[in-house]
Amino acid sequence: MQRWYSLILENQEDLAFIMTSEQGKIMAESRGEIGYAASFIEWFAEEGKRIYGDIIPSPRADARIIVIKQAIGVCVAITPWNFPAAMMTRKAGAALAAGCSIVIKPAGSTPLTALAVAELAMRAGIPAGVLSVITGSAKAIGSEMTSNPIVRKLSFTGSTEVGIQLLKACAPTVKKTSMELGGNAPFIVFDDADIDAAVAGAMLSKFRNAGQTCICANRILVQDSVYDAFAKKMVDAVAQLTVGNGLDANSTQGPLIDGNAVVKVEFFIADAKSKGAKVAIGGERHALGGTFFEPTVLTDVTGDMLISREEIFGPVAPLIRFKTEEDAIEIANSVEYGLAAYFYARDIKRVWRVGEALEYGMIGINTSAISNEVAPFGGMKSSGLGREGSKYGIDDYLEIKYMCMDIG
Amino acid sequence: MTLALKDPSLLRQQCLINGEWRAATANAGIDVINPATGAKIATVPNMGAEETKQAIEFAEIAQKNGSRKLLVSAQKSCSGGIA
Repeated sequence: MQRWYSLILENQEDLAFIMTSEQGKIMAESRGEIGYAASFIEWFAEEGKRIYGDIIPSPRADARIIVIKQAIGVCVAITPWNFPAAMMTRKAGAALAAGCSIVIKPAGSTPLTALAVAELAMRAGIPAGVLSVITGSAKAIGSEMTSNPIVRKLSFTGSTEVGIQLLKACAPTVKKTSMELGGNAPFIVFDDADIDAAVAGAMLSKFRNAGQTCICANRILVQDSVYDAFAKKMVDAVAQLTVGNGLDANSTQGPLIDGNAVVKVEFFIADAKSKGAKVAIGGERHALGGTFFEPTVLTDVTGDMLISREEIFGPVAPLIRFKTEEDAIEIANSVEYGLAAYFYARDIKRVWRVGEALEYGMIGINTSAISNEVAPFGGMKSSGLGREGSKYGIDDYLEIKYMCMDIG
Repeated sequence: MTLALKDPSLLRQQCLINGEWRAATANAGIDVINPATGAKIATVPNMGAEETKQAIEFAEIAQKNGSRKLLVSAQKSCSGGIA
């Protein structure tokens, strides 16, 4: 695994080039994702040395109780198009370190990055059969993966809708599942926040990968007294973005993944406008054509608009006004999702109150850079089951076995 | 269109099953499109249930052969070199 990790880093530029070519994200983000992807291989290679068991004091004097952890068995993974490398290694790294074999189905629109990472796994000497990658029909492959009794675990990153179908399909064979599903991240700016830092954090969170990540800020909630100042600075920052081909070093935002993504974003904007939202900047398909879309800020957004209820997955920042801390928490928790949330505040008591009140698996406090290999990634409510990465991530690929030994 | 890579052999257009790179049995393919240009950059196999079943069965064999032992021994030889 250490060899695989090194090979991924040695080939970072080629892998990033493949990723940008099939996915669209800018090269700087692709390079970043390759580094992030590699970090999971190294992390789990090290965690594999720490799969500790337990000895539990027995209630009987003539017995000993031993707990060991063992590989769960054959695993399968279905990975998304928005992070074609990191979502593969976050699953495969944990599986291999736990001693499991894994079969991976990458997204239909971005299979080349996964195949290239698999090529490096072969060069690193990962044994035949331990890691396989299959491209093709999501329905046919998914249905075999979920119904085959040999498979003991399925890990999926993707939409809540598909996740529910997979959970149902896994039920008859009682497979263990990890589900990283959709999000609807609130990004809350309180009146005691550092507004410039909040704008910078919102830009990073909202426009990364053209807004196509499950932890992108989806609803930007701003307290009444700082709303106008925040909105102005956000619009100024958005005006600095450069839309273009991700291979062009000047680009800060690439295209959306396909035509459907553009139609969906247009639909959300039209719905919001019809209910009273105003376009502060952007709002249209970009002059470059294709699937390029203007980075957009909407103001006067309210809870009855679809854009507040559903995952946008596009470069649109809806600004929602709120009055009190209680209002902000209520709005933030009012959706079915519970993946990532962010808030900016300086009052230490408020920081604790809000941090504990938000029903989300990951909370960025005065920061939006929350993803790394050492911290647990995952969501509550309809955003999923299980945690990936971190010291907890390997547990999803292990079974606990208790052995009771009579020594009387 | 081909991608300008330092190592062109990283652009794989087959699936990896049991350590072998394979085209789909029916030879049907799925085009991979560059969203920035609309251009086709590669074609990958359109595999289905049969190939998935085979990969799962090979994964089970590899699992029984002790994949963990192989991986851990590879790690030990690495760290031994550093020490």
